[in-house]
Amino acid sequence: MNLKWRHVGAGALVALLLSAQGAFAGGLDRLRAFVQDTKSGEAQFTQTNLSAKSGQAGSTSSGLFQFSRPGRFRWEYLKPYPQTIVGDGQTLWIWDPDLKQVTRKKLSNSLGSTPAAILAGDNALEKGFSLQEDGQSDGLEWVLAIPKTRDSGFERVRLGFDGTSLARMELHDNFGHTILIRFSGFKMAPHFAPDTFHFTPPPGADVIQ
Amino acid sequence: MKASQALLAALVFLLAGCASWSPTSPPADQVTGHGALRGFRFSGRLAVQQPEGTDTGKIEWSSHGTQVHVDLLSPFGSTVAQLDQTPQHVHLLLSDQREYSAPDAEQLTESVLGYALPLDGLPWWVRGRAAPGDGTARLIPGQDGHPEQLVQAGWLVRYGAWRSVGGEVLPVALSLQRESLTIRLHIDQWTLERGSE
Repeated sequence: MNLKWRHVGAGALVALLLSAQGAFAGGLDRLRAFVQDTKSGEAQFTQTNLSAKSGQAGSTSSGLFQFSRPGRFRWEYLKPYPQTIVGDGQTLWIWDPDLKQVTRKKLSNSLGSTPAAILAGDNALEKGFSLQEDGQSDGLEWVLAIPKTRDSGFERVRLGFDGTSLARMELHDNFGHTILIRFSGFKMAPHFAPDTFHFTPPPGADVIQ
Repeated sequence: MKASQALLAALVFLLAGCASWSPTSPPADQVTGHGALRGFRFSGRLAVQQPEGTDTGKIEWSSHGTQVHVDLLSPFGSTVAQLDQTPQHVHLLLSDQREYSAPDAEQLTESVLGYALPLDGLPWWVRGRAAPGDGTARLIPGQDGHPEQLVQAGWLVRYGAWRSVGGEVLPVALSLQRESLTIRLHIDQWTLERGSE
Protein backbone atom coordinates (compact mmCIF):
# COMPACT_ATOMS: atom_id res chain seq x y z
CA MET A 1 0.00 0.00 0.00
CA ASN A 2 1.42 3.37 -0.92
CA LEU A 3 1.48 6.40 1.34
CA LYS A 4 -1.52 8.05 -0.26
CA TRP A 5 -3.78 5.06 0.24
CA ARG A 6 -2.67 4.69 3.80
CA HIS A 7 -3.81 8.27 4.50
CA VAL A 8 -7.13 7.67 2.88
CA GLY A 9 -7.55 4.53 4.94
CA ALA A 10 -6.81 6.31 8.21
CA GLY A 11 -9.14 9.13 7.32
CA ALA A 12 -11.94 6.73 6.52
CA LEU A 13 -11.39 4.94 9.79
CA VAL A 14 -11.55 8.17 11.78
CA ALA A 15 -14.70 9.22 9.95
CA LEU A 16 -16.26 5.85 10.62
CA LEU A 17 -15.47 6.03 14.32
CA LEU A 18 -16.81 9.57 14.58
CA SER A 19 -20.05 8.71 12.86
CA ALA A 20 -20.47 5.59 14.96
CA GLN A 21 -20.05 7.61 18.14
CA GLY A 22 -22.34 10.34 16.95
CA ALA A 23 -25.11 8.04 15.84
CA PHE A 24 -26.18 7.00 19.33
CA ALA A 25 -25.20 7.32 22.96
CA GLY A 26 -23.52 4.01 23.74
CA GLY A 27 -23.79 2.11 26.99
CA LEU A 28 -20.75 3.79 28.50
CA ASP A 29 -22.18 7.26 27.85
CA ARG A 30 -25.47 6.25 29.37
CA LEU A 31 -23.73 4.76 32.38
CA ARG A 32 -21.78 8.00 32.93
CA ALA A 33 -24.96 10.03 32.58
CA PHE A 34 -26.72 7.72 35.03
CA VAL A 35 -23.97 8.12 37.63
CA GLN A 36 -23.51 11.88 37.12
CA ASP A 37 -27.09 13.03 36.62
CA THR A 38 -29.05 10.69 38.84
CA LYS A 39 -27.98 11.65 42.33
CA SER A 40 -30.89 9.82 43.86
CA GLY A 41 -33.60 7.55 42.62
CA GLU A 42 -35.85 4.62 43.20
CA ALA A 43 -37.18 1.72 41.16
CA GLN A 44 -39.06 -1.52 41.55
CA PHE A 45 -36.99 -4.57 40.82
CA THR A 46 -37.66 -8.16 39.90
CA GLN A 47 -34.79 -10.55 40.42
CA THR A 48 -34.42 -14.02 38.92
CA ASN A 49 -31.62 -16.34 39.93
CA LEU A 50 -30.61 -18.83 37.25
CA SER A 51 -29.11 -22.15 38.19
CA ALA A 52 -25.60 -22.75 36.92
CA LYS A 53 -26.33 -26.33 35.91
CA SER A 54 -29.68 -26.17 34.19
CA GLY A 55 -29.76 -22.49 33.31
CA GLN A 56 -33.38 -22.63 34.43
CA ALA A 57 -35.00 -19.94 36.46
CA GLY A 58 -34.73 -20.68 40.14
CA SER A 59 -36.09 -18.31 42.71
CA THR A 60 -37.75 -15.05 41.76
CA SER A 61 -37.95 -12.16 44.16
CA SER A 62 -39.05 -8.57 43.95
CA GLY A 63 -39.01 -5.35 45.87
CA LEU A 64 -37.93 -1.73 45.95
CA PHE A 65 -34.48 -0.21 45.38
CA GLN A 66 -33.75 3.31 46.60
CA PHE A 67 -30.44 5.14 46.51
CA SER A 68 -28.81 8.46 47.20
CA ARG A 69 -25.24 9.05 46.08
CA PRO A 70 -22.71 8.62 47.39
CA GLY A 71 -23.15 5.16 48.75
CA ARG A 72 -26.48 5.23 50.53
CA PHE A 73 -29.07 2.69 49.47
CA ARG A 74 -31.99 0.60 50.57
CA TRP A 75 -32.65 -2.71 48.82
CA GLU A 76 -35.88 -4.09 50.16
CA TYR A 77 -37.19 -7.51 49.23
CA LEU A 78 -40.94 -7.75 49.60
CA LYS A 79 -41.53 -11.14 47.93
CA PRO A 80 -41.32 -14.06 48.47
CA TYR A 81 -40.21 -13.02 51.95
CA PRO A 82 -39.34 -9.66 53.46
CA GLN A 83 -35.69 -8.77 53.86
CA THR A 84 -34.17 -5.34 54.22
CA ILE A 85 -30.65 -4.40 53.16
CA VAL A 86 -29.53 -0.87 53.98
CA GLY A 87 -26.22 0.83 53.24
CA ASP A 88 -25.95 4.02 55.28
CA GLY A 89 -22.61 5.10 53.86
CA GLN A 90 -20.44 3.22 56.35
CA THR A 91 -22.32 0.11 57.38
CA LEU A 92 -24.23 -2.54 55.52
CA TRP A 93 -27.25 -3.72 57.50
CA ILE A 94 -29.18 -6.87 56.67
CA TRP A 95 -32.42 -7.54 58.51
CA ASP A 96 -34.27 -10.80 58.07
CA PRO A 97 -37.48 -10.94 60.13
CA ASP A 98 -37.78 -14.73 59.77
CA LEU A 99 -34.30 -15.27 61.17
CA LYS A 100 -34.80 -12.43 63.69
CA GLN A 101 -31.21 -11.37 63.21
CA VAL A 102 -29.62 -8.12 62.14
CA THR A 103 -26.26 -8.52 60.45
CA ARG A 104 -23.86 -5.57 60.29
CA LYS A 105 -20.85 -5.35 58.03
CA LYS A 106 -18.45 -2.68 56.98
CA LEU A 107 -19.71 -1.43 53.65
CA SER A 108 -16.23 -1.25 52.16
CA ASN A 109 -15.80 -4.99 52.68
CA SER A 110 -18.99 -5.93 50.97
CA LEU A 111 -19.24 -3.50 48.09
CA GLY A 112 -18.74 -6.01 45.37
CA SER A 113 -21.30 -8.38 46.73
CA THR A 114 -24.25 -6.09 46.39
CA PRO A 115 -25.71 -4.75 43.16
CA ALA A 116 -27.14 -1.92 45.25
CA ALA A 117 -23.73 -0.80 46.47
CA ILE A 118 -22.34 -0.92 42.94
CA LEU A 119 -25.18 1.23 41.64
CA ALA A 120 -25.32 3.72 44.50
CA GLY A 121 -21.63 4.54 44.52
CA ASP A 122 -20.14 7.68 43.05
CA ASN A 123 -17.32 5.93 41.27
CA ALA A 124 -17.62 2.36 42.52
CA LEU A 125 -18.03 1.06 39.00
CA GLU A 126 -15.10 2.93 37.47
CA LYS A 127 -12.91 2.16 40.47
CA GLY A 128 -13.63 -1.51 40.87
CA PHE A 129 -14.40 -2.61 37.30
CA SER A 130 -12.96 -2.41 33.81
CA LEU A 131 -15.77 -1.04 31.66
CA GLN A 132 -16.45 -1.54 27.99
CA GLU A 133 -19.27 -1.20 25.48
CA ASP A 134 -21.21 -4.42 25.03
CA GLY A 135 -23.47 -3.61 22.12
CA GLN A 136 -27.23 -3.44 21.73
CA SER A 137 -29.83 -6.05 22.48
CA ASP A 138 -33.46 -6.06 23.63
CA GLY A 139 -33.59 -2.37 22.75
CA LEU A 140 -30.96 -1.58 25.38
CA GLU A 141 -27.40 -0.31 25.29
CA TRP A 142 -25.15 -2.59 27.30
CA VAL A 143 -21.99 -2.10 29.30
CA LEU A 144 -19.77 -4.97 30.32
CA ALA A 145 -18.08 -4.51 33.70
CA ILE A 146 -15.29 -6.87 34.67
CA PRO A 147 -14.07 -6.68 38.28
CA LYS A 148 -10.44 -5.74 38.74
CA THR A 149 -10.06 -8.16 41.66
CA ARG A 150 -11.53 -11.57 42.37
CA ASP A 151 -12.87 -10.41 45.74
CA SER A 152 -16.07 -9.08 44.28
CA GLY A 153 -17.45 -12.57 43.88
CA PHE A 154 -18.47 -11.78 40.31
CA GLU A 155 -16.83 -12.80 37.09
CA ARG A 156 -18.64 -10.11 35.10
CA VAL A 157 -21.57 -7.76 35.37
CA ARG A 158 -23.66 -6.43 32.49
CA LEU A 159 -25.71 -3.25 32.73
CA GLY A 160 -28.46 -2.48 30.21
CA PHE A 161 -29.66 1.09 29.72
CA ASP A 162 -32.76 2.31 27.95
CA GLY A 163 -33.14 5.92 26.80
CA THR A 164 -33.50 7.30 30.28
CA SER A 165 -32.05 5.01 32.89
CA LEU A 166 -30.83 1.64 34.01
CA ALA A 167 -33.25 -1.07 32.93
CA ARG A 168 -31.41 -4.34 33.54
CA MET A 169 -28.49 -5.80 35.38
CA GLU A 170 -26.94 -9.25 34.92
CA LEU A 171 -24.49 -10.51 37.50
CA HIS A 172 -22.47 -13.61 36.68
CA ASP A 173 -20.74 -15.05 39.71
CA ASN A 174 -17.55 -17.11 39.77
CA PHE A 175 -19.56 -20.34 39.86
CA GLY A 176 -21.58 -19.92 36.68
CA HIS A 177 -24.64 -18.73 38.55
CA THR A 178 -26.50 -15.76 37.03
CA ILE A 179 -28.66 -13.13 38.71
CA LEU A 180 -30.97 -11.16 36.42
CA ILE A 181 -32.46 -7.94 37.71
CA ARG A 182 -35.10 -5.90 35.87
CA PHE A 183 -35.84 -2.40 37.05
CA SER A 184 -39.15 -0.67 36.39
CA GLY A 185 -40.96 2.50 37.38
CA PHE A 186 -37.71 4.39 37.75
CA LYS A 187 -38.07 7.76 39.51
CA MET A 188 -35.32 10.36 39.70
CA ALA A 189 -34.89 12.41 42.88
CA PRO A 190 -37.98 11.07 44.63
CA HIS A 191 -39.02 12.23 48.06
CA PHE A 192 -37.54 9.83 50.60
CA ALA A 193 -38.81 9.25 54.12
CA PRO A 194 -36.20 10.66 56.56
CA ASP A 195 -35.12 7.24 57.82
CA THR A 196 -34.84 5.58 54.40
CA PHE A 197 -31.07 5.20 54.61
CA HIS A 198 -30.82 4.70 58.35
CA PHE A 199 -31.36 1.36 59.91
CA THR A 200 -32.84 1.08 63.37
CA PRO A 201 -32.96 -2.51 64.59
CA PRO A 202 -36.53 -3.51 65.37
CA PRO A 203 -37.42 -4.56 68.90
CA GLY A 204 -36.65 -8.20 69.57
CA ALA A 205 -33.96 -8.43 66.88
CA ASP A 206 -30.54 -9.77 67.74
CA VAL A 207 -27.83 -7.31 66.82
CA ILE A 208 -24.26 -8.33 67.32
CA GLN A 209 -21.40 -6.35 65.92
CA MET B 1 -18.23 -11.40 48.68
CA LYS B 2 -15.69 -13.31 50.64
CA ALA B 3 -17.08 -15.92 52.94
CA SER B 4 -16.65 -14.69 56.49
CA GLN B 5 -15.28 -17.03 59.09
CA ALA B 6 -18.71 -17.13 60.69
CA LEU B 7 -20.41 -18.19 57.47
CA LEU B 8 -17.72 -20.75 56.78
CA ALA B 9 -18.16 -22.21 60.22
CA ALA B 10 -21.85 -22.62 59.56
CA LEU B 11 -21.33 -24.12 56.15
CA VAL B 12 -18.76 -26.60 57.27
CA PHE B 13 -20.86 -27.48 60.26
CA LEU B 14 -23.96 -28.03 58.18
CA LEU B 15 -22.25 -29.87 55.40
CA ALA B 16 -20.26 -32.10 57.62
CA GLY B 17 -23.37 -32.99 59.54
CA CYS B 18 -25.68 -33.59 56.64
CA ALA B 19 -22.98 -35.17 54.57
CA SER B 20 -22.33 -37.78 57.17
CA TRP B 21 -25.79 -39.15 56.44
CA SER B 22 -25.72 -41.70 53.70
CA PRO B 23 -28.05 -44.39 52.40
CA THR B 24 -25.59 -47.05 53.53
CA SER B 25 -26.53 -46.32 57.13
CA PRO B 26 -30.09 -45.03 57.18
CA PRO B 27 -31.86 -44.64 60.50
CA ALA B 28 -34.42 -47.39 60.97
CA ASP B 29 -37.47 -45.17 60.54
CA GLN B 30 -36.31 -44.05 57.13
CA VAL B 31 -36.45 -47.62 55.96
CA THR B 32 -39.53 -48.87 57.72
CA GLY B 33 -41.54 -45.71 58.30
CA HIS B 34 -42.81 -43.69 55.39
CA GLY B 35 -40.56 -45.49 52.96
CA ALA B 36 -36.87 -45.27 52.36
CA LEU B 37 -35.51 -41.78 51.84
CA ARG B 38 -33.30 -41.59 48.79
CA GLY B 39 -32.34 -38.04 49.41
CA PHE B 40 -33.52 -34.64 50.41
CA ARG B 41 -33.22 -31.06 49.34
CA PHE B 42 -33.83 -27.90 51.20
CA SER B 43 -33.35 -24.26 50.46
CA GLY B 44 -33.40 -21.64 53.12
CA ARG B 45 -31.63 -18.88 54.93
CA LEU B 46 -29.15 -19.00 57.74
CA ALA B 47 -27.75 -16.54 60.21
CA VAL B 48 -24.59 -17.17 62.17
CA GLN B 49 -23.37 -15.60 65.38
CA GLN B 50 -19.87 -16.03 66.69
CA PRO B 51 -17.69 -13.78 68.85
CA GLU B 52 -15.81 -12.99 65.63
CA GLY B 53 -18.94 -11.59 64.05
CA THR B 54 -22.28 -12.30 62.46
CA ASP B 55 -23.19 -13.17 58.95
CA THR B 56 -26.16 -14.26 56.95
CA GLY B 57 -26.83 -15.92 53.64
CA LYS B 58 -28.85 -18.45 51.73
CA ILE B 59 -28.26 -22.15 51.57
CA GLU B 60 -29.30 -24.68 48.94
CA TRP B 61 -28.79 -28.24 50.02
CA SER B 62 -29.09 -31.35 47.91
CA SER B 63 -28.38 -34.92 49.02
CA HIS B 64 -28.97 -37.69 46.56
CA GLY B 65 -27.68 -41.18 47.19
CA THR B 66 -24.18 -40.69 48.48
CA GLN B 67 -23.69 -37.40 46.64
CA VAL B 68 -24.07 -34.11 48.43
CA HIS B 69 -24.02 -30.71 46.84
CA VAL B 70 -24.35 -27.46 48.77
CA ASP B 71 -24.42 -23.87 47.57
CA LEU B 72 -23.90 -21.11 50.07
CA LEU B 73 -25.10 -17.78 48.70
CA SER B 74 -25.01 -14.16 49.75
CA PRO B 75 -28.38 -12.57 50.60
CA PHE B 76 -28.45 -11.27 47.01
CA GLY B 77 -27.92 -14.76 45.66
CA SER B 78 -24.31 -14.71 44.47
CA THR B 79 -22.40 -17.86 45.29
CA VAL B 80 -20.05 -17.57 48.26
CA ALA B 81 -19.00 -21.20 48.55
CA GLN B 82 -19.79 -24.52 46.95
CA LEU B 83 -19.36 -27.96 48.37
CA ASP B 84 -19.34 -31.39 46.81
CA GLN B 85 -19.05 -34.63 48.63
CA THR B 86 -18.78 -38.27 47.64
CA PRO B 87 -18.05 -41.16 50.01
CA GLN B 88 -14.34 -40.82 49.27
CA HIS B 89 -13.86 -37.09 49.10
CA VAL B 90 -15.05 -33.65 50.23
CA HIS B 91 -14.25 -30.58 48.18
CA LEU B 92 -14.97 -26.99 49.21
CA LEU B 93 -14.50 -24.12 46.78
CA LEU B 94 -14.80 -20.48 47.86
CA SER B 95 -15.60 -17.51 45.64
CA ASP B 96 -12.09 -16.12 46.09
CA GLN B 97 -10.80 -19.42 44.64
CA ARG B 98 -9.54 -20.85 47.92
CA GLU B 99 -10.04 -24.61 47.84
CA TYR B 100 -10.07 -27.26 50.51
CA SER B 101 -10.12 -31.02 50.10
CA ALA B 102 -10.31 -33.74 52.69
CA PRO B 103 -11.20 -37.43 52.81
CA ASP B 104 -14.21 -36.68 55.01
CA ALA B 105 -16.22 -33.84 56.46
CA GLU B 106 -14.77 -34.10 59.93
CA GLN B 107 -11.25 -33.53 58.65
CA LEU B 108 -12.50 -30.67 56.53
CA THR B 109 -13.72 -28.82 59.61
CA GLU B 110 -10.24 -29.19 61.07
CA SER B 111 -8.49 -27.72 58.06
CA VAL B 112 -10.99 -24.91 57.40
CA LEU B 113 -11.84 -23.87 60.93
CA GLY B 114 -8.85 -25.10 62.85
CA TYR B 115 -10.97 -27.17 65.20
CA ALA B 116 -13.28 -30.13 64.88
CA LEU B 117 -16.99 -29.97 65.61
CA PRO B 118 -19.08 -33.00 66.53
CA LEU B 119 -21.55 -33.09 63.70
CA ASP B 120 -23.04 -36.50 63.27
CA GLY B 121 -26.43 -35.54 64.66
CA LEU B 122 -27.31 -32.83 62.23
CA PRO B 123 -29.18 -34.89 59.61
CA TRP B 124 -31.57 -35.95 62.37
CA TRP B 125 -31.74 -32.60 64.16
CA VAL B 126 -32.63 -30.71 61.02
CA ARG B 127 -35.57 -33.08 60.63
CA GLY B 128 -36.61 -32.72 64.25
CA ARG B 129 -35.20 -35.94 65.69
CA ALA B 130 -32.44 -37.03 68.02
CA ALA B 131 -29.66 -39.04 66.45
CA PRO B 132 -30.10 -42.70 67.37
CA GLY B 133 -27.77 -44.71 69.58
CA ASP B 134 -27.11 -42.00 72.14
CA GLY B 135 -28.75 -42.51 75.54
CA THR B 136 -27.77 -39.03 76.70
CA ALA B 137 -29.90 -37.17 74.14
CA ARG B 138 -32.75 -35.19 75.68
CA LEU B 139 -35.78 -34.31 73.59
CA ILE B 140 -38.14 -31.83 75.21
CA PRO B 141 -41.58 -31.79 73.58
CA GLY B 142 -43.55 -28.57 73.24
CA GLN B 143 -47.27 -28.04 73.69
CA ASP B 144 -47.96 -28.82 70.04
CA GLY B 145 -46.41 -32.27 70.42
CA HIS B 146 -43.40 -31.43 68.28
CA PRO B 147 -39.97 -31.18 69.87
CA GLU B 148 -39.28 -27.78 71.38
CA GLN B 149 -35.69 -28.40 72.38
CA LEU B 150 -33.13 -31.08 71.79
CA VAL B 151 -29.86 -31.46 73.67
CA GLN B 152 -27.29 -33.76 72.16
CA ALA B 153 -23.51 -33.92 71.68
CA GLY B 154 -22.99 -30.53 73.31
CA TRP B 155 -25.52 -28.82 71.06
CA LEU B 156 -28.79 -27.18 72.04
CA VAL B 157 -31.29 -27.27 69.20
CA ARG B 158 -34.39 -25.07 69.54
CA TYR B 159 -37.33 -25.49 67.21
CA GLY B 160 -39.68 -22.73 66.09
CA ALA B 161 -42.17 -23.42 63.31
CA TRP B 162 -43.07 -26.71 61.62
CA ARG B 163 -44.61 -27.61 58.28
CA SER B 164 -46.14 -30.74 56.84
CA VAL B 165 -44.16 -31.94 53.82
CA GLY B 166 -45.26 -35.08 52.00
CA GLY B 167 -46.75 -36.70 55.09
CA GLU B 168 -43.84 -35.78 57.33
CA VAL B 169 -43.82 -32.80 59.69
CA LEU B 170 -40.51 -30.99 59.34
CA PRO B 171 -38.98 -27.97 61.03
CA VAL B 172 -38.94 -24.71 59.14
CA ALA B 173 -37.27 -22.64 61.85
CA LEU B 174 -34.57 -23.90 64.16
CA SER B 175 -31.46 -22.69 65.93
CA LEU B 176 -28.38 -24.69 66.81
CA GLN B 177 -26.17 -23.51 69.61
CA ARG B 178 -22.88 -24.80 70.94
CA GLU B 179 -20.71 -22.68 73.19
CA SER B 180 -20.42 -19.30 71.47
CA LEU B 181 -21.57 -20.45 68.03
CA THR B 182 -25.22 -20.05 67.12
CA ILE B 183 -26.70 -20.93 63.74
CA ARG B 184 -30.27 -20.04 62.89
CA LEU B 185 -31.94 -21.75 59.99
CA HIS B 186 -35.14 -20.80 58.24
CA ILE B 187 -36.06 -23.39 55.66
CA ASP B 188 -38.15 -22.03 52.80
CA GLN B 189 -38.51 -25.27 50.89
CA TRP B 190 -38.20 -28.96 51.75
CA THR B 191 -38.16 -31.72 49.16
CA LEU B 192 -37.99 -35.38 50.13
CA GLU B 193 -37.14 -38.08 47.64
CA ARG B 194 -38.69 -41.40 48.50
CA GLY B 195 -38.43 -44.93 47.19
CA SER B 196 -35.45 -47.15 46.61
CA GLU B 197 -33.01 -46.99 43.72
